[in-house]
Amino acid sequence: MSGKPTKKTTVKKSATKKETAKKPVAGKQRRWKATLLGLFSVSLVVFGAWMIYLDAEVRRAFDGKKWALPAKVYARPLALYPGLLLSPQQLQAELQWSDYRQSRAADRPGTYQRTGNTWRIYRRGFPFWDGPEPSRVIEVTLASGRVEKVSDEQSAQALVRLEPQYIGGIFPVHNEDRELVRLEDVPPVLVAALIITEDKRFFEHWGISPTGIARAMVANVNAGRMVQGGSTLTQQLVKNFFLTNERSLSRKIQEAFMSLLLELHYDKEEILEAYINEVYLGQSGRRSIHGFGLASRFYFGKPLRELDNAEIATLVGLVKGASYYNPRRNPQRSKDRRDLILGLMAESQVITEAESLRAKRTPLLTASPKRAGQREYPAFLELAKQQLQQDYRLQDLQSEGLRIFTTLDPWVQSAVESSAEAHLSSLETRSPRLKGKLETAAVITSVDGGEIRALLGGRDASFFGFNRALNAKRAVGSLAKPAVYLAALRSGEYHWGTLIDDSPVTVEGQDGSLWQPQNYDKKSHGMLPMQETLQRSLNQATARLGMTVGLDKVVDELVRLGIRDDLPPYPSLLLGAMSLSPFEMTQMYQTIASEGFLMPLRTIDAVTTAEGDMLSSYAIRGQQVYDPVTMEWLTSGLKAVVSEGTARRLNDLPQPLAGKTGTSDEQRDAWYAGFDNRHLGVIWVGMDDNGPMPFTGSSGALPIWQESFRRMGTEPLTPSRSLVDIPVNPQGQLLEDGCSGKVYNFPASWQTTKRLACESGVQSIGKGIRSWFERLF
Amino acid sequence: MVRTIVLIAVVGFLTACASTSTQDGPTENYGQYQGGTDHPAVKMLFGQADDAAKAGNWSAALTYLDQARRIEPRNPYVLYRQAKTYAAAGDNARARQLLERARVFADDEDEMLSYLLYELEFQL
Repeated sequence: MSGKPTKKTTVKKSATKKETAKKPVAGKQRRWKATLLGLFSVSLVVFGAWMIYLDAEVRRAFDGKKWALPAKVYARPLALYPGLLLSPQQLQAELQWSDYRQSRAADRPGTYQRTGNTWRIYRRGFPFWDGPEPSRVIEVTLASGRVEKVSDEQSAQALVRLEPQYIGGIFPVHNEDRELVRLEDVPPVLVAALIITEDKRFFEHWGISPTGIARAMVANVNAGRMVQGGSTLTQQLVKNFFLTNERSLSRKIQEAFMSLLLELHYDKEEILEAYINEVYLGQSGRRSIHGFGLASRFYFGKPLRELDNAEIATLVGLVKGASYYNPRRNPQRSKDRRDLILGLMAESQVITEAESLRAKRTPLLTASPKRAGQREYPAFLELAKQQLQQDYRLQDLQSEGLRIFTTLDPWVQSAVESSAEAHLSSLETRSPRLKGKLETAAVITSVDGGEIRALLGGRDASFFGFNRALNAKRAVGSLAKPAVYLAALRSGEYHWGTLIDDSPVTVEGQDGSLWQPQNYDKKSHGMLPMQETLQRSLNQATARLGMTVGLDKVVDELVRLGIRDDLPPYPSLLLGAMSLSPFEMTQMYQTIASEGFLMPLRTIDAVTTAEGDMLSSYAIRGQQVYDPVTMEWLTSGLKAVVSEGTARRLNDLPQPLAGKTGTSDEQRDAWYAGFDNRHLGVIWVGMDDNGPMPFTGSSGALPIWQESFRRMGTEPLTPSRSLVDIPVNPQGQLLEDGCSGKVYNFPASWQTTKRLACESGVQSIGKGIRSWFERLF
Repeated sequence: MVRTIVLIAVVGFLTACASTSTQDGPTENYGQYQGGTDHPAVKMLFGQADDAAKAGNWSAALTYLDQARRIEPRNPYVLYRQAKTYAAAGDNARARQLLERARVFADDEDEMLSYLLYELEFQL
């Protein structure tokens, strides 16, 4: 009995032992389970929180405005009206730059037909600043370099505008550009081609395609490298829209979940539309081309709806690698890809076999990326951006899709760019040591409105960098001289026939140093009529005249003409020792050319929202700072510079024209500033290292002006309204009308001045000669 | 001399009228004079500017007139209209600038223009 209990006890004990041995294991397991459960719960919470975060991210970015839309900047529209100065070359160029195609019938927007001097143009619709205008057919007849008649299909028209050229954008930091399109405006063939090429099961999956991933994995393993991606269109969109280009498992997982969330909240059409606008399809300098809308314009120069099958396939081919399949840089590769896609399109019955074959036979034709309609104008854009920022925040300019209508005239810009390049090349041929060193800058404005028509910031017109037109401060040389002569004319003591002494002159500066200017030919020319000293740009005579009239008076004139820089009142200022930019010199000559109207030079005409509502307009503004008669009088001297002086090489252009050459010390800068009836142009040529050149303003800068204006079309200055001709004898005395003597322009008020009779001697009467010495002391 | 006296008298009378009409709104006096150009495109732009101004859209009116100015940059009537529109829009400073500019190109023999310019000057 006792044994049993003992046994029992033993058994019990052993059971107890077993129990005690099991207890820690079970506890451990429980703890593990609890830990795992805890970890799982925490993971679940973290995962849930992450999903909530991702969901919020997806919805935040996808609801409302998806992209920062850069402001689109346009040139001036070409306004066609009877009487407009317009050459056939210009009209042809303007149409080509706007991606118009010559056709036999001009039967669709964006085409034109030329028959002799008559142009039938099917103008595209365009949202102008004052509202959208539909596409319409117009006929333009040219005669003798002008528009003779403009009509539409019904009747003669007073004024018709061609749509303006796109000249650039104001981009966010990443420089993305796109032209948004709605899905209903995308050709169905393009949508189908995209889907069959990139994601056949797009309309069936939930954002990710396990079979697609598996297929890609097999293909990649077999190939031993990455040959196929398993991403759906939704995943591609998520990657481009929300994520970076990082290749990691965690990013792939995030991409998959975001794709699912995207599909959960948005329908397939919305996702597809976003994809079509988001996808990266090329690069143009700093500007990255996103979306099929812009790519269509960029590669083929036409809107999406006008693309043919071959072009559609080419664009779809870019999705796989915009650089690798770039039709301009890698045409054969691009064509192979295009043909492959055309085959797929036929296989899937998107197009017929015959259409596919026909498209495959089409050569790969793309529009030039450098054509005016797609290239940018960096120098002009920089100034436009500066001026816009006076009224708009940069952030808004970069993101609100504003439409900026500017004053740029592509025809004028083209004339200046090509003339500058041709002339600099020819100068370098003459002086091979300067090859690649010569630089230039140019500003062309409208005489009466101060609108900037062209701006060249350097020899490379497409360079986004140092803008010499605005920022290069260079010694202006004789370009400053008109201020000296203006001060003299306004003093009432001088007229263009007054004799000025061109003998050596020495002037003591404020610091006691002596200044002895010399003429370009190192000679002295004695007593000469004032007009001749200007037209020959004589330094000694001008310095003496300036000192006699008064340095402070000359500085006053420079300021009044629009120079806002500090002007050190040193005598050397009389000969242009101060450094100013071409833009500042344009401001000065603008006041002269416009008969005394000081106006800010402007680049902006109007700004509208992306929807076309006008936000602001910028019309002429300014202040009449001079009596126009005085300015006409000064201009008559500048006309003589062209007709008889240092700018006489312009005599092959229609006359009269006015202008002034300028050359700085040691010929480090060559300038020309001149105007006709419509345009003012200021040209500078020099080197960035400020080295001397074997050229003057007349040989270095003036030929660029000459060729530019020849190409632009020159309109001679109109005859003076308020000046009269008065003969002057060789002593600078006024003679009665009809006497023999050199005739100079005078304000009508001088007619009443007492004058010498024809046969009279040299007696000084009225406003006649006074020696500089006499007036100085 | 006689013409100047008559002008001053007329302008004085009109100024008195103008001071009451401005109480009715800035568009009250807008676009009274429809002439000033024979150019069909400029005429068309004048019409568009008038329509915009009547709708109170000064920005558009000024931009149409500036297009007209580009076609006839030295037509004082265009500049006068620009000045008049600025005045109607309440920008008297710019109205004065353009009035002065119109005088640069005005023909002294053009009595209508002289009258219009004086009238506007008195309004400002």
